[in-house]
Amino acid sequence: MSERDEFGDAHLADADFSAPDLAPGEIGNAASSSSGRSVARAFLRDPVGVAAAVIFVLILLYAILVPLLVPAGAGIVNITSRLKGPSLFGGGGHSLLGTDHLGRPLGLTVAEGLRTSLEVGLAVVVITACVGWLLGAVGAYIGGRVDSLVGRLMDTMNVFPGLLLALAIVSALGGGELTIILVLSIEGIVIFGRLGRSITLTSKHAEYVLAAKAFGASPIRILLGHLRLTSAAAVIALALVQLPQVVLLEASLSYVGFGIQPPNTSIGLIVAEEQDFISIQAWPVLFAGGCLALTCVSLALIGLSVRRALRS
Amino acid sequence: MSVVAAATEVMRVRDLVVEYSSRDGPLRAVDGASFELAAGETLGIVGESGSGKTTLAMALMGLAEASGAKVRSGSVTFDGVDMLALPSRRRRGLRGKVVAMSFQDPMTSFNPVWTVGSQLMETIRAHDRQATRAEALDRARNLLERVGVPAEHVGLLPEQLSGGMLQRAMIAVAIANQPRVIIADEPVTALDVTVQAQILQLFRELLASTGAGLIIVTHDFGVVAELVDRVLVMYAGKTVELADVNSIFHTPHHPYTAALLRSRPKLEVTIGRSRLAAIPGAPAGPGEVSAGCPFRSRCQISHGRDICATDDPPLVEVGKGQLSACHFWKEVTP
Repeated sequence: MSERDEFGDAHLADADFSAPDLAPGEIGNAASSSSGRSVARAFLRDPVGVAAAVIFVLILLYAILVPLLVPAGAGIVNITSRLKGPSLFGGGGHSLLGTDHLGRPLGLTVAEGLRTSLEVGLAVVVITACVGWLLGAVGAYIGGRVDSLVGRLMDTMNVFPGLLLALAIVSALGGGELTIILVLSIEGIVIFGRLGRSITLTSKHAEYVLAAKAFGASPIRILLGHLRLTSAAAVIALALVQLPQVVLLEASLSYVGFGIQPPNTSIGLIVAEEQDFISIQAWPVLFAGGCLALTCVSLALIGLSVRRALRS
Repeated sequence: MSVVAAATEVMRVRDLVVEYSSRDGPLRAVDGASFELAAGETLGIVGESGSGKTTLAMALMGLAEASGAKVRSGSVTFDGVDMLALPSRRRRGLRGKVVAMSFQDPMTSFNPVWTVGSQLMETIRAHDRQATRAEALDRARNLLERVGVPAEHVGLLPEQLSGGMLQRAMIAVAIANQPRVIIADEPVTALDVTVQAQILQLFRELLASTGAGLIIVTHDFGVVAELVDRVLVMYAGKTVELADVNSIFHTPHHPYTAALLRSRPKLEVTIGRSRLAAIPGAPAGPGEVSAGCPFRSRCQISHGRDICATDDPPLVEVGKGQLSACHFWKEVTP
């Protein structure tokens, strides 16, 4: 569910991905646990990382649980109680976290927005990490023309200015979660592709790859077994850095109107809608923006801390 | 050491020529290697660094291209099948199954982020696709025990094993699919002396029990004396002498072999300071010698005779089962 579970599995070793690793639980599984465990230990020793993780988990629980727990019908428009401050802090309304410009409880709208943002971020990072790494690694492993073809493809994807490309795609396909995932993935694939390519270039001549060939391993198994494991740490580190950036990008696109479209919502969209009323009631913008900032900062700090732990 | 029973031939190499390409044209790293190997027999390939030993070993695995070289001509035949003539997919099927290799440095020959057991299972399942994970794991544990590594180590990373244990694990990978021929590239060079003795003993036991042929690439005459039945001496890519181990040690018929034997450290007590004998000059690199005998500039019996500079000496039979490539092999003294 959380991004840490998602990537925690893939730690340095043993996620099953057609390579014959020892599955977790089989005979102690020292490969993943020894390296995975030491990384986890190093992470837990870093107070900043732990604090960021706690904050992020709280945000995550908020985004997941609130839409599930509030009674149905709580999110309907109620013009009579628009733009109320949070009753939690002694504001006038009945809603704990205040209401938006249509009188909907802000606590619920922001939770839904956050969920969309995190969904998009997670989907984009997983897609770009897998597709990008695979493209770069396959190109570099085969080399020659395939490598230059992949290289040209990535260059081509890279030369389009991000916002312009987003505009073009959104106007062609219409806004929405899937479109925004597609738009944001295009740029991410290039980043992970370069990483996959460089790691593969340096490790494809490693002695252990030669040894694998000598034992009759096929190129596919070398790629998905040896080279995938060799790249895992760097890919995880990059994915954690990418995640908050993607979340922010999605917010920006939705803010300018090229992203998530009503009636769906995302933080960027909420900020865009509420800023018209900022002189009457600044709370909705502050609360939504604050949640986004806190999410991104905690993710960034987790990423930094994990990178440090991977290096130690 | 091991008795060659009934001498069933498992491998035959004919006129193998391997080249590296360079700006100045092709460099011949292996120039016409020919030999055969019988089941249970051990062949030692010796020579200085850069003499083409490892290139030859890689070419025998059908992996010359993977190390940047190219097989120009020749054949490597296992049970009548020329591996080098096969398409790459079928060649892959032979590697690890019919001919397997143990690499020079066990520390770098295992993927550092993958358990030893998983890499062993990978090898098993590369050739036996029917094997389930549980079966492969079972076989991996048995293999490890067979080479003297505790079966529990199956889940450890390479960095958690000692060099000797890793070399054993490497041998376990090499024997995983009961190959007919095992090629061991400097199997004990990276290990300390007591561990070396254990590994050599392990090789001896495995050969006796499996009947596989062994090709051992080394520059250590101690290893040769311990384990090897026949010796192939390489110099600048050429086979300069091929003979059984006793003839090599007692009646070498090539000046290079004799010089190599003289330059090994001896245990005899010497009074006063003694220097280790060395072969003067540096080994000729591939492509450096255009005509004549590649060893002539360092040779102590040539005395600048013309034929050494003009004619490349052919490999001829000079005794029973002994081949030498020297015009003046009769003048060689041990």
